Amino acid sequence: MIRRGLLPMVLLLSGVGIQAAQASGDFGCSVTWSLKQDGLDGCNNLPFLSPANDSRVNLRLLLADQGLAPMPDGPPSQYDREMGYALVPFPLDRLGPQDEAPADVPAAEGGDTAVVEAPPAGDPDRAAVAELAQTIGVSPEAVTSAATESSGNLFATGEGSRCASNDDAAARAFLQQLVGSTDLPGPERLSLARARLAMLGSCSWDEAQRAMLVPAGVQSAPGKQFAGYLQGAAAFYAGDFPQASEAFKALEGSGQPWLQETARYLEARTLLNQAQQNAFDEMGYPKLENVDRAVLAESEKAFEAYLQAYPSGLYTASARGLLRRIYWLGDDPTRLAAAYAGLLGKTPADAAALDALVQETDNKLLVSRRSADVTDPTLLAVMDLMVMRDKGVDVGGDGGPIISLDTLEQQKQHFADRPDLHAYLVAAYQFYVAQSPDETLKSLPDTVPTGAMSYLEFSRQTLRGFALEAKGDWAGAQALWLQLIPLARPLQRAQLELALAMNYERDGKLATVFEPGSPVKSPEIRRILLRNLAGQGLLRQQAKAADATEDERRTALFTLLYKDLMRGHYRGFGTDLALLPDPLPEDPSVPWDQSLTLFHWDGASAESDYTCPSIREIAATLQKSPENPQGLNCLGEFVLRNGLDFYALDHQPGEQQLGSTATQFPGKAYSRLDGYMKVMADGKAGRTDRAYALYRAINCFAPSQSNGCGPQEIPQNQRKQWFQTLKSRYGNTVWAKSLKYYW
Amino acid sequence: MRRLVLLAAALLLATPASATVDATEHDAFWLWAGVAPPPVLSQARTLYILQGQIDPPPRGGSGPARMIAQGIAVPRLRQGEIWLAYRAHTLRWPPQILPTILAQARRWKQAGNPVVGIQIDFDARTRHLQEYASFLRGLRAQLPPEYRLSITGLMDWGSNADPEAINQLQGVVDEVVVQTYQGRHTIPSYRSYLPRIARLTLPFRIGLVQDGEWEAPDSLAASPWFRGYVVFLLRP
Repeated sequence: MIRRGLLPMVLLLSGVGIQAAQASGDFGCSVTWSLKQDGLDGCNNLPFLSPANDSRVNLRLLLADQGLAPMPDGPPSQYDREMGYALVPFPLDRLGPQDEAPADVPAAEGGDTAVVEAPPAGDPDRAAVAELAQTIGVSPEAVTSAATESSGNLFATGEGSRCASNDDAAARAFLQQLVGSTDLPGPERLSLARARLAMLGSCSWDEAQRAMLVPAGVQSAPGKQFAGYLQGAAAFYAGDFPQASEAFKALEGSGQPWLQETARYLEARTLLNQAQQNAFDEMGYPKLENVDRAVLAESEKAFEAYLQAYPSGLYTASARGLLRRIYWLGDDPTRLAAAYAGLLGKTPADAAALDALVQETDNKLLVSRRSADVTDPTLLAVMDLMVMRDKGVDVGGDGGPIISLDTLEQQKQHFADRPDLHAYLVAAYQFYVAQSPDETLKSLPDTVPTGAMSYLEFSRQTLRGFALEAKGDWAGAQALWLQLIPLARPLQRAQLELALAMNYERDGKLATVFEPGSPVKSPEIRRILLRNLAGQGLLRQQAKAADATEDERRTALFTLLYKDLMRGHYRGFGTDLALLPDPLPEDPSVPWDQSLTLFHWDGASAESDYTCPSIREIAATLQKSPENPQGLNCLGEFVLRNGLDFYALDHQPGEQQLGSTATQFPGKAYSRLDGYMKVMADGKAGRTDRAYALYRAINCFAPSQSNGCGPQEIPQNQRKQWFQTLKSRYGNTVWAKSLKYYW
Repeated sequence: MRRLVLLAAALLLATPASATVDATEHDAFWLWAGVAPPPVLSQARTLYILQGQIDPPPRGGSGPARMIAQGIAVPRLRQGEIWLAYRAHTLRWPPQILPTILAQARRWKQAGNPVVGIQIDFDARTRHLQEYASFLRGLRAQLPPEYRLSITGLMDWGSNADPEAINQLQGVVDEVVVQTYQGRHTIPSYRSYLPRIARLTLPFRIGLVQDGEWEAPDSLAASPWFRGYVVFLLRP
């Protein structure tokens, strides 16, 4: 019924809350430029064995070290780039297939074509079924109708349903046997083929329908056996396990090898389905206590016997996968872990097989079992790192410790062949749980490798650098990062650049990053530092730097001009405007941002009947008189019309992230409402300016009642008062007339 | 004016004022995994249940995108409204994807589950909303009318997106569930996005993360398009 090697995990995945998305990037990821997080963050994985990594990433790092499957380290997709990602940190999705097509493909014209891109590819099984059916003499109409039925019975890859194997491939195998059985009378062959085709596309027949499915009047000995098989298959799919067992058992002595093998395999599968039939509650969640243990044991015996008889049979891979399901249903983590350890120790057939195996291991073992059940060092290491998250405290439970040095010590016997890995786990415990940098260093090497590093070696060096930094030895860590760079592979290199940049940032050496020959080359890292930390001097230098990229010069200039303007450096703004290239590039330095054309804003549109000059003139006015009412209102207009409220350059990343230390750019970020309130309070301000400031300030709270123009909290009676002042004292202005409410 | 303020105040009182998202105060949930069924599910009126992930073909591999099964087995639910949710990593769907989704929905319904619609969870960045809208139009055209169409949306759609692109979704999707979280945590700046979200002119819900943060602005309850909350469950 199942092709050789067909989805060995089909049933294994069935009916279980798959934790594929365990805190991963599945729900919209954003990048966090940080290295020392200790809470799970599947959106920001690092190429060292970090507790914060998704368990699947740590597993893959260890598999890569064993030469079993390389880590993907090609350039990030355009999609990832647009989300702000570089090579490191990386979202979990990076391990799986990437959508490589450019993100800018024009959408298909016309709604009905957008979903379907390519014409359906020919399905070899379906074609073969049609050909065999024709050979046997089935009418083309019956073949077409079977194909249609079969199309309505599609399953996702790995979807758990015994019905998934009632497919074209299964029908093909059966028809092949009919054709090959030369002693089968023609009419019987035809009626058996018709019956098998009619079974496609459904699995939920009642007893009467089932009786109709299997052809009556089959007389020949082989014909009876094939009919018996169909009877068993129909009963199996319909969930009548006793009858299925009976039918398959009857075929044990069949002289037909295919029938004999298939029946034995299906007999075991029938028992498994019977054992688990009450194992899922009405929500579809597993309730392992409701598994029929006795039948499960029979099923296991039957699979073992099948594998004994057919070590490389038609269903060997499936049977092995189903044995893992038996271990899982039987709540037997030790054997489950051993099975995964065995599989993970072999080179995977392809990327899809690797993904499926890592996924299943994670889902069925890593996230739901305890390390006490496991002896394999790779699996143990991944599980230990998981419990070192959040300082080794059980955040979801009673808040107590869930890992101890004793536990690690007891595991040591399992690491006899991998002492380095065990030493790393001890170091990680000392760093993340005990938070003792000195103890951390004791379990780590104090020399640098001489050549290319495995991910474990790299992890040990990474932790060493972290411990040095935790002790305040910034220079020591800096030297280490610099020594490692020439040895690093692409992912390691990207992490080292981030480590070095954060080190320079925290050690007060920001300018070093921008010196010629600096190893910090990642445009994303340099951009974050320029936008969040650089002062005017460094920004001016990079805005003009011949050795910087065009994008970097633009980023520096944009940041310089924006902060000049918004932090009250109006004179600087006036002179720095001279740095604008001519002609002005229309494109922003990154696609989602503003472009330098912002600073050519001419104020001409006067959308609310309030006239403003160009931004250059506004700044010149404010330079002469920083409280000038029209200047302040117009700076507000510049912000409003260009959507710059709460603009990214007004705040810095959170603690522990790149770019989070004190900025070197002096001054406090301007907010519109500050300006309006100054104008309102300015007794010498003109009538028009005050009325407009009131009107704009009231509108800051429309319609949500929360401030859209700045961080200030203004009580509602204050807003009410603004409204009354506008209506009474400035009642004849266009703004008072147009405003019906306050918020 | 006074009336408007009063009305808003009354609605404010009606919404849970708690700043931490307590799942027990809600009746619509997003279900994506589970080791054990959270007790809170017994009060569910609306469930969004992850059933599949549409992945592009493996790197360097040939062949079309595929749908990977996710989530729980077909349950036996008898009340409320169930949406089958699909996480899409690509919009280039080969022809068998939609029939597979429909086959799943059929199996759920055959087992007696009240499936009302399909939800697509695609991380459409602002710039690609046009492409996404076009995809959704195509999907709507092929979706049998018995199924409603829901999508998840990102907070910044309200502020950065071309309003035309979002307006195009009117009449195509039946609702947008705007997510206020990333991973397991509430987006720290979620408040600053809310005023613009409140201006959406198609039915929308707000997606909260269990134990995350939430303070409802008055504007939300005042919006005629607001349809309530969906809580993304993290734990039993």
